Amino acid sequence: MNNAKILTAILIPLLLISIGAYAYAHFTDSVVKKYKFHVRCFIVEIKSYKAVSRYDDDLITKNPSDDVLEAMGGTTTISLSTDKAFIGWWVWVGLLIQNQGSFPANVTSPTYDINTTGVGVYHEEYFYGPYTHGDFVSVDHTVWGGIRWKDLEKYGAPPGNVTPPVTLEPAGDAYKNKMVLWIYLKLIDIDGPTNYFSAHIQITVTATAVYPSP
Amino acid sequence: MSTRLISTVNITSGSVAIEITGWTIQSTNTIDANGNGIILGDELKIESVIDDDGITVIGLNITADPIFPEWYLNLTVDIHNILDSTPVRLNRTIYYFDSNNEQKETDVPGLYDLFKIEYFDAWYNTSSGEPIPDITMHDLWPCDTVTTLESLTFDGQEYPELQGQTFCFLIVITGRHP
Repeated sequence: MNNAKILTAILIPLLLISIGAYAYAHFTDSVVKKYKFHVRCFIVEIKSYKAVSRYDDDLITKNPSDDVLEAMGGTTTISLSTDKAFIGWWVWVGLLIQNQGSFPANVTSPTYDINTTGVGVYHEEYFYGPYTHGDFVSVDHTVWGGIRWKDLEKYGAPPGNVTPPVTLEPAGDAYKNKMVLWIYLKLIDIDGPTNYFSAHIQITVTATAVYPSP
Repeated sequence: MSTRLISTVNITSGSVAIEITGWTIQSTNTIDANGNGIILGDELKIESVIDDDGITVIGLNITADPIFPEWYLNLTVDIHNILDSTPVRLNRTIYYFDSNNEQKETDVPGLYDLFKIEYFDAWYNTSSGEPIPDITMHDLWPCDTVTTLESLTFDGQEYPELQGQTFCFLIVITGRHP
């Protein structure tokens, strides 16, 4: 008798589970939408930059530093700081810009922001490129590596600049995905300090994706 | 002495059975990335998954390559309660595949956290066009059809780490007897 009770106690749950599974199978049904996406993004960044000026470069703090920028792999915004700024202070800023994304991009004039009240930024931009990796190696000495502040002060921007926007092709050494942008910055008086002052100038690259027409 | 009582009960159960009877791309900004003049069937593919009976559509495989920041797809899908089945109530569950390719449940905020996909869906009666505010409380009778509008937008501009990634997720619509 005890065995029968135990057997019943075992069988009833088994029966219920079976019925439950049967019922669930017959009282539910599903349709499934499976989405599979592959992402391509748009990334145009400053790979390297330099600030050259007759005023001692050591007095200009770059952010990010060269080492940090290399570790980052690129950035869209850089900043320059100095404690020895004055009205008329100038600097040439060179940006090596690269399209690291999968879509073409148009690069136009950057945006500027200065934190000192009463001081404005006069700026001129000179665009060079686009270049493949090989192109850039061949023009490096004329638009990037060989540029000195004395040359810039005496002759102005390197020759060969083009009218913006510069269209950069997607990432890849065979593509024209690099360019150089030289910027002449000069601090101008709006209603600001007359002596030395601290200045923090932020420069942000402006680029827009060029998607093929849908 | 013993008495044996035998009781025989016949149970006739109706099955729950739903199918997809149609789909329409309402709008998308999918691009012709390879410039061959074809988008649907190339960069954007929607393929039916057919049941063993060779007729019933039980799923859709939707593939988009490439997607890009601000890419979107608005898709309507008609879900039909098959004749001779029972009334059902539908609900939607989202699953994704983790790094071990294991299927895991998530939800709309989770889908955004994982893949930066903004997901929105709405339901309405296919015949009358009347909106159905809560599909989980709506009785879908045999032979009736409801339509779900799904809106998906990729908000990936600030997430370059997603570049080059391929990801999958499932939208599972389950019909249950109320």
